[in-house]
Amino acid sequence: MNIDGYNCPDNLYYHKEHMWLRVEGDLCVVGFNDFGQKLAGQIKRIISLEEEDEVEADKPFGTISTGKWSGKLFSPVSGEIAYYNEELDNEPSYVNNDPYGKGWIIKVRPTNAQAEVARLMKTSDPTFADWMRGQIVKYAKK
Amino acid sequence: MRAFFVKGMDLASSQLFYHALAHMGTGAVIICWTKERYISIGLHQDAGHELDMAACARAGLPVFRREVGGGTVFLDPQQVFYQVVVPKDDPTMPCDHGEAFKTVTAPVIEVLSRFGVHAQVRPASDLQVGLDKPATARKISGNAGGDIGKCRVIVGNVLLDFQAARFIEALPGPPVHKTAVADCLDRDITSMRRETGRSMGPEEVAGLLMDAFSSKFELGTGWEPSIPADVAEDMERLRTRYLEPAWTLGGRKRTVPDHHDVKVREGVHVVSRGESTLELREGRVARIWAGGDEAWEGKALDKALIDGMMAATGGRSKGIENTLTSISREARF
Repeated sequence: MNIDGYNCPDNLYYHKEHMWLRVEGDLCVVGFNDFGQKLAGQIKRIISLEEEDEVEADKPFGTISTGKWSGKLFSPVSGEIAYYNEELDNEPSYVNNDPYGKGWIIKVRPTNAQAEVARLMKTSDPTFADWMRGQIVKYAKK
Repeated sequence: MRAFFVKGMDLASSQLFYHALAHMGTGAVIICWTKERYISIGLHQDAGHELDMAACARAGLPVFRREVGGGTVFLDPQQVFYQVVVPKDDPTMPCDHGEAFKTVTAPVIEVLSRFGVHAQVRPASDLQVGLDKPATARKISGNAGGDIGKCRVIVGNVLLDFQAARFIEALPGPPVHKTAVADCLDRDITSMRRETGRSMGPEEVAGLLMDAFSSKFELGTGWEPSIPADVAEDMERLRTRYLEPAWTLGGRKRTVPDHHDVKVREGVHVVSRGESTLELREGRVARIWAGGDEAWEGKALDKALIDGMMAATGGRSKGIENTLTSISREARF
């Protein structure tokens, strides 16, 4: 689904802090969505918790830097970080250029996936498009 | 929003105050200054790479890693700080970072103009004077921002005077790198004293900043002259985190850059790798030092000379080439 120029693939789950999640076997792949990366601007560095660190749903697991601004990355689910995308250390621009592909950030081994994934949004939810448009009006660059 | 005007804070309080307000979700404008000299690094910087920590200790320069962006800055009593904390849902501060910096620096530009100092925003967030000729523009105010707790925060300073010698001592890298940085700081950083020809105390500028911020932002009950007890309590809680060496030195260590890059102002960097040092000015290589004290600059810096120098310097040529390549990528040279 494309909402006013922001790409929101239909096969993903979305968190209110503009993170996306994809279930991949027993892992949850997490990244920054198209709206989030466009609002942030050119990302120059990412700091994340390490592999085997615990993350908590709705809590920050890392930060992004666009040079003069630092922002937070929130985990959609609780669990343990199984993998961090080390390619982002050298190419943080993947988050801008390919947010749903090479720009994935962490893979989480969830501890409460059923309940926490169920409360995330999907593009098929009747309210999703309205929510996104509300975010665009509220936050997006003029 | 609450408003605070606090004189002569110790270094920790001058940083922890706005961090605490942000974690509490309290919107505020703070005008203050510190009574101590120290260095502050941005959230995503690595203190051990950006600074010679042993030299900092010898020079009596503590290091504070703040939870906002931007680079390494030297802070001292000759600067007035403004710190703006706005809850995330408050439309006072635009979500676009560039617009947010413009909003917060508008009162500062107005105050500077009252002294005959005509500054403009140089994106992302510098205030520079003389921008009609970018190559010789001078920075008088630096700004940085970030999301802290429940708020968005922008912090900045007005330089009343600037003494770079102690800052230079704290930098890592070869002597020629420090020489190049010192030279650029002298040329590219200015101050109220330099622009107006007279010294001024922080209260003179702070008073006008208070008026200007009062006009721009909806400030509630007037300017409070001290840190309230409830905020001080939260600052104590944060102190244990932010003053720990583990926090100061923190950050991922997977990829430490193989070069030192000092951003003197928007548009001017000094970069060193191995034995080569470059001064990059407005997207061009302005000077090169290739293993010695002699700088190559001006007309001597044409491509043929660089190619010849690479060929002539043997093993060092790789350093120059790599430096140019990485800076081309990072600074879009």
